Amino acid sequence: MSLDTEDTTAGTRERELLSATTGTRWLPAQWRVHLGLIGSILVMASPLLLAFVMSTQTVPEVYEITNIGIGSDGITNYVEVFTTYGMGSYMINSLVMSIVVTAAKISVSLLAAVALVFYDFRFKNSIFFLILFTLMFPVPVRIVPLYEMMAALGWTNTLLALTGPYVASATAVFLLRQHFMSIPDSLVESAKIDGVGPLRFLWDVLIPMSRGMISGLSVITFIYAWNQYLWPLIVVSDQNKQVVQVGMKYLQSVGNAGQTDWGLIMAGAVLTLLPPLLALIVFRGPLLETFGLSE
Amino acid sequence: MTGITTTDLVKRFDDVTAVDGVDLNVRDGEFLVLVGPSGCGKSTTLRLLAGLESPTAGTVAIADEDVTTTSPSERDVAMVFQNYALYPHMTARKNMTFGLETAATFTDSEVTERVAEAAAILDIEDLLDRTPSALSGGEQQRVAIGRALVRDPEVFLMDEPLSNLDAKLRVQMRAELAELHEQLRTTTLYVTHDQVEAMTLGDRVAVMYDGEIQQVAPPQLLYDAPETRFVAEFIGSPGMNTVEGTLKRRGDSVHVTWGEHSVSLPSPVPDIVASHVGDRVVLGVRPEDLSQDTNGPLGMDVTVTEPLGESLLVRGIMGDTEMQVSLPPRTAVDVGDVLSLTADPKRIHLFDVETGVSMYHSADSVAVESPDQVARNERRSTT
Repeated sequence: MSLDTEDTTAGTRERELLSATTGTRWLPAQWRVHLGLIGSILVMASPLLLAFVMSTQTVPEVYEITNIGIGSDGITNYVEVFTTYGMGSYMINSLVMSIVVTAAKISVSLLAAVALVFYDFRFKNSIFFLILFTLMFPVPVRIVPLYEMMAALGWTNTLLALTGPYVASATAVFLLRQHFMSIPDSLVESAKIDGVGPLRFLWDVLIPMSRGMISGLSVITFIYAWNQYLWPLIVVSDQNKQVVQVGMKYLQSVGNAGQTDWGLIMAGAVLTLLPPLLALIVFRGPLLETFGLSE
Repeated sequence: MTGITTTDLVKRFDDVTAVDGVDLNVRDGEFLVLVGPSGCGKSTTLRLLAGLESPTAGTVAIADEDVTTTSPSERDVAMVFQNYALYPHMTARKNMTFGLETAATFTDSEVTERVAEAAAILDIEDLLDRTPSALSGGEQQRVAIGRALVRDPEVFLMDEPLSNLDAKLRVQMRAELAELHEQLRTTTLYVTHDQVEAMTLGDRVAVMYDGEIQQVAPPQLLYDAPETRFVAEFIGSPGMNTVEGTLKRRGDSVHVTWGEHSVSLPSPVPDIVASHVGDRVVLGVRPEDLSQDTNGPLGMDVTVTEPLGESLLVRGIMGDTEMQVSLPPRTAVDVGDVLSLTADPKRIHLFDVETGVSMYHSADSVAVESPDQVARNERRSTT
């Protein structure tokens, strides 16, 4: 009896294998789906592709709607953006700001999450909900009082003002808290019995066990910080200290006779895009893990 | 003297009393098993000893030193957890040394030496450089035990360490644990819900129910002379049959009767039983102490038969009580049969209906009681 059933299951498996190999020989079995996917990806990527094309074109070429080939300016737009318009220093400013925000945000959130998960204190849940409540007050909502505060502290035009408001993050605390809660209690208890102190536990156990979550969060934070526009625009008036997103706005006003030099702007845009893109590509794995999308 | 003593230990969580006045004494070098159904407070008791919970009332002493308020790391205990509690990102070796490094009382060479020693005892020398994910459940548990060994603690606390292993491996690890204790003689408190594990491992076994210790005794005594109805029903697989009946005198002999069934007690009956004639009592008899007898006074309607190989377990209804009988293997019994049974008069137990406390064991062997039990009985009679 049992032998018979084994035979039949082996037989169906073989047949399935056979059909799978014959199906993929000429065209993917679901070629319509593939076509649809390629089409929608092209639609979504079209602004980026157009930006890249325009970044190589001269002003008249940009205004020729039908001209979507690589333009005649080549890399001169890129060179000009760097040399004449100081894109390099904007990018360095942005980089410094993003790295400081990322490092500070992760450190503070780690400590907050450790306190929320592994310590018992009064009103723990209320405090957690209070932290979540701050999600409703992002920087743009608080911009006027924040600016007043920075002015009073004399921090305007400094890195402190640029990064300070971003250091506390409810999202990061929430994600780390959820992750820490999935760590078995017995690990913590075992550490307690071994006499492992809280900071050593954080450094030697929690951080290595949360490596994926931390790198994922870092990527998100880095990109978020890199893309900030409104707050830097307000709090930094010194053009040398400005970040890249605001720097792009300066490019808008450099064209001849009121005509915007779109080639130049697009070159700046493509350059601005590169660091976050690089971060995304490098940390793709942990990022997917952070949001539970990986298998 | 590195025993553990708890005095009137109480732990309440909000309005639930998990541990209710536990007096436990684990002797120096003893392997004491704390057994009970889930939710009886046995794990909480262990955690109170480890210092992972603080008691609502009562004291804990390890090696004659009151440690009730001492932090877990200063109690010199090592704990083995059900889910092993290994750090997933560290190798087996690192897992074993991690706690030692914090203690800072050991030099590097001492640490290496201790790990080598523990690894040799547990036969895990080849596994030391692997991470837990590359180890099987049994190997992980060995590493976890190794981590406890290298600390050379006064006391081992084990919280269901074998429950996550498959049945065969559990039996093997059980034997290894017994051997390990034979070798090291470290005072050990072992918590389990598995009464077979309790019986096979423990020098003594403490049965816990509803936050209270029911009985502490060597395994065989626990089996032969359970002090309460709960212990009788819990220990043994399957446990003791219990049925409520009336104690009646018929001529010279004394019987327990319920419905049309009756079991006679061997004469002469002790005074304690004689004084209860006419009262309701709980009769207890183990499945293997019932045997087939064509003229037997007990009739049972068979509902289930379970051939276990070395015996045939038969479940059935006697009066309106479910009973289990262990018969010799290959006995011809079918569902729907009516079995005539008789109970071994030397193996009969009586319990109080209200309190469930034992009144009488007919076995002669029970006469020899452990000093512990004598003390408990004395305490019980005074209260």
